[in-house]
Amino acid sequence: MGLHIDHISLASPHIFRSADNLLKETGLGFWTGEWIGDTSVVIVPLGPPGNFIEISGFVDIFTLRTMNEHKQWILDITETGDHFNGLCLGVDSMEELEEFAKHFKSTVNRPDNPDPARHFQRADGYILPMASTPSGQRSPWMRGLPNVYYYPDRTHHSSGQPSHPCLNMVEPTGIKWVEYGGTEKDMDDWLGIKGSGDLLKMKFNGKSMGLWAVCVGAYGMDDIVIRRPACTDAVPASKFEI
Amino acid sequence: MAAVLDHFHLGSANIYTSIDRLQKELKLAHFDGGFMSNVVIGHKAFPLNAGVYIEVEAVIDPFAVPAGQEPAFQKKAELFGTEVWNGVCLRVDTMAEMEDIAKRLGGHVNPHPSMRIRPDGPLNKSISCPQIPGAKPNFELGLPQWYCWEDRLYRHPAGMPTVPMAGARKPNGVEWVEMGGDEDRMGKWLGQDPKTLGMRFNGKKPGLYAIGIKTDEGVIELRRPSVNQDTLEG
Amino acid sequence: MQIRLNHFALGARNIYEASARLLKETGLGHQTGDWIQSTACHMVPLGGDVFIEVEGTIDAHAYLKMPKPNYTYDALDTDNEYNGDHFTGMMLGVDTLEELEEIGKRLGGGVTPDWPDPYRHFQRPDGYCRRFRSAPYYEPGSGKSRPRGMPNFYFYPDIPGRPANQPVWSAPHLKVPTGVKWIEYGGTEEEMSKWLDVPKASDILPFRFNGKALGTWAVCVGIEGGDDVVIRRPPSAASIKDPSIYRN
Repeated sequence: MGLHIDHISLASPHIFRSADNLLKETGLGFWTGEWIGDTSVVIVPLGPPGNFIEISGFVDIFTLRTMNEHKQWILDITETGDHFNGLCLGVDSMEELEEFAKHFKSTVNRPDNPDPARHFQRADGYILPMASTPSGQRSPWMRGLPNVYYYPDRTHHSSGQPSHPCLNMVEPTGIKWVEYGGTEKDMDDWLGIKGSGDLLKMKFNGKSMGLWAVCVGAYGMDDIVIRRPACTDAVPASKFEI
Repeated sequence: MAAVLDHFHLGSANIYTSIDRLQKELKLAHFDGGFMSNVVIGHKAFPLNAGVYIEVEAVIDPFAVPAGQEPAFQKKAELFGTEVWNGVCLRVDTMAEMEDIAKRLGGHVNPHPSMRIRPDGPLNKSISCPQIPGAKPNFELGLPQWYCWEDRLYRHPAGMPTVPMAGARKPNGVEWVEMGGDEDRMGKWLGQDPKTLGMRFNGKKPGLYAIGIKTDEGVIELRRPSVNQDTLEG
Repeated sequence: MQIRLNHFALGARNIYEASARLLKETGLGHQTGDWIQSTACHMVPLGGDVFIEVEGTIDAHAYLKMPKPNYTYDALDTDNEYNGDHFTGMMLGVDTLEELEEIGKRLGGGVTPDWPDPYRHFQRPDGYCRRFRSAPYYEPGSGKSRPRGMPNFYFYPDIPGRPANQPVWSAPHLKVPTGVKWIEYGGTEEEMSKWLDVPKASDILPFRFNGKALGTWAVCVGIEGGDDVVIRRPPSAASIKDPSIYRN
C-alpha cells in the first residue's frame, strides 16, 4: 500500500456517549473492549483497505492522581467535547518505518516490548503488537502532526474486527478524503515527502494543524462527513513547540 | 518472498456436527464464516493466530448440487464418516508474486476470486492460483495452492473473534504439516524448501494428513483422512 | 414475595484491567459496552440469572466536577491486593413492580421513577436500553437515604435483556458459572433479616455473616465441571475511615 492513512484518533470526554452520538449521526457501528493503561478506545471500522476511528478517553480516573503534560492535554482538549487528536499513518514494513524514524531523528516504539501494559489489549485477551514512530515523551499529535505505524500481524488489525450489532448500522466502504489544517507544504515537510495531498487523500484548509474532518463512503448511501475540531483548536500547537 | 501457511481446508458432510466434534477434540474456539457466494458451501473457521486458520466447509444446499456432482470432499466425508483434509493453502503478499508462481507452474491466476459472505454482511475476497489448463485440480494431486489477500489482511480469518467456549486453548500457529507424496516433487512445486512450511512426509498418497497446532498447552495434533484416500486404510 | 439475588457491583479504578484480572483469576468472562451516565460497566455473568457489574467512572470531567469527598472514590482510592477493587453494592431482585413498591414503602421511601429519558438507564452498543426500577428511592432533599452497606432492590421488566443472559467475549480457558453458592456479608443476621423483613435472612439467600463492615466480602460461584471460585474483595465500608464526612 505504501504510505497510507491507518487510523484516526478522536479524543472524547466519554467514549461510550461519543460512540453513541456518532452512531446516531452517521450509522457507523463500533466495537468495544480495547484498552491500554488508563485509556480505552471504542473502535469504529471505516471499511477497506482497513481504516478505523478510535474514540479514546480515560477509563481510569485514578490516573489523574499523578498528572503529567499528556494527561493534562487530554483533559484540556476534551473539556469542550470531542476533538480529533491524531492522524495515524501506516507503512507495510519495519524497514519503511525505520526510514521514517530516521527522518524524524527519532526511534521506533518496538512491537515486541515484553510488558503487556505497553500494548493495546482486548477483552478476549489478545495483545496487539504495533510499532510506531516518532517515539519520545511528547507526541507529535500535540502539535497536530501525524505519526506512522506498522503492524507485524495485520490479520488482527482493529479495522477488521466485527462491530457490535448497533441499531441502524451502515456498511462503510472506506475513507474518501480527510480535511487537514495547514498546507500541503507543511505536511510534506513534516513527512519528508512530496505530494502528501494526493497520496494521503488530504485537503488542506489553512487552519491550525490537525485533522478537521473525514469523509467515509457507505454502501448504498450518501458519503458520511464526520466533522470535529482539531485538538490544536482547543490547545494551540505553539504550547508544545520543540 | 517465500510463501507462508495461510489455511488448511477440511471438508465435511455436516458442518454443524463437524464443528461440534472438532471443538471438543481440539479445545479450540471457532467462528461462523458465513457462506460462499455460490450459496452452496457453508464456512466455519478455527483461527489459529500467527496468520493461519482451519476452514471447515460443507454443502449447505444439497438441492443446488446435481446428483453425482457433489464436491469430492463431501463424498469422502460421507464414505469415511468423518471430515477429510482437502488441502493446504499458502499465502503471498502481492499479485505480482501470484502471477510469477502461476507462470512458473504453467498456469494462470484463477480469474474467479473466492468470495465469502460473512454473517455480518461484508464480503471476504481472496484470489488463488494456479489454474493449470488440462491438469487435475491442485488438491486432487495433493499439492498446495496459493492465495493473495491483497490489502484485505485486516479481515483475515486468523484474527477473527470466536464464539465463547469454556476451556478453550490459546492457539499460536502451526508447528508441522504432515503430507503424503514426495518431498522433492513438493519442493519443485513450491519453489521453496518444504521445511520452511513445517512439512514432513509420510510416504502415503499425495495429500494432507495431519497438522500440529501450537497452543498454550503444547502442540496438539489434528489428524483426518486425506480426500485423496480411496479407503480409510489408504 | 420471592427475593432473589440480582447482581453485585464491583467498583474498580480501571474496569478493563479489573475484568482482565478477574478473568485470569477465575476464568469468568465478561461483556463490554454497557454504560449509564458517567459510569461504564463490564458485566460478568455468574449463572442462575445473577451477574457482577464491574463498574467505574469513565468521564474524567464529570468526576472532577463531582462534589467531594466522594464515598465510592475514596474507597477505591484505598490500595489493596486487588488494585483498589471494592464491592460497592449488592442488589436484590423481585419479580413485579408491585412487590418493589411494597418494599419501597416499607423502607420509608418509594421506587425510582420510570425515567422517560433513555439515558437515565443502561445503554448497550446494540441500542438496547435496559430499563430498571429500584427501591428504596428517597426524593432528593427529603433527608432520607438508604443505610450504606445494605442491599437495594431491583425490578427489570425484560428478563432476556439482563446481562446474566448475554454472551461474553470469547477468551482462552473460560469457565461456565453455575450460580452463586454463598455470599460472605458484613454485619449480622439480625441486621439483614430486619432489612429484608424476614425471620432469618440466610434462610432465603445464601448469606454467611462475618460481623465486619457492612457489605459484600466474598462471593462463591459454582463452576461447571470444576471447583467453585471465591471472588474476595473488601466492601467500600471497610476502607472508609470516617463515614460521617460523606453527604450520601
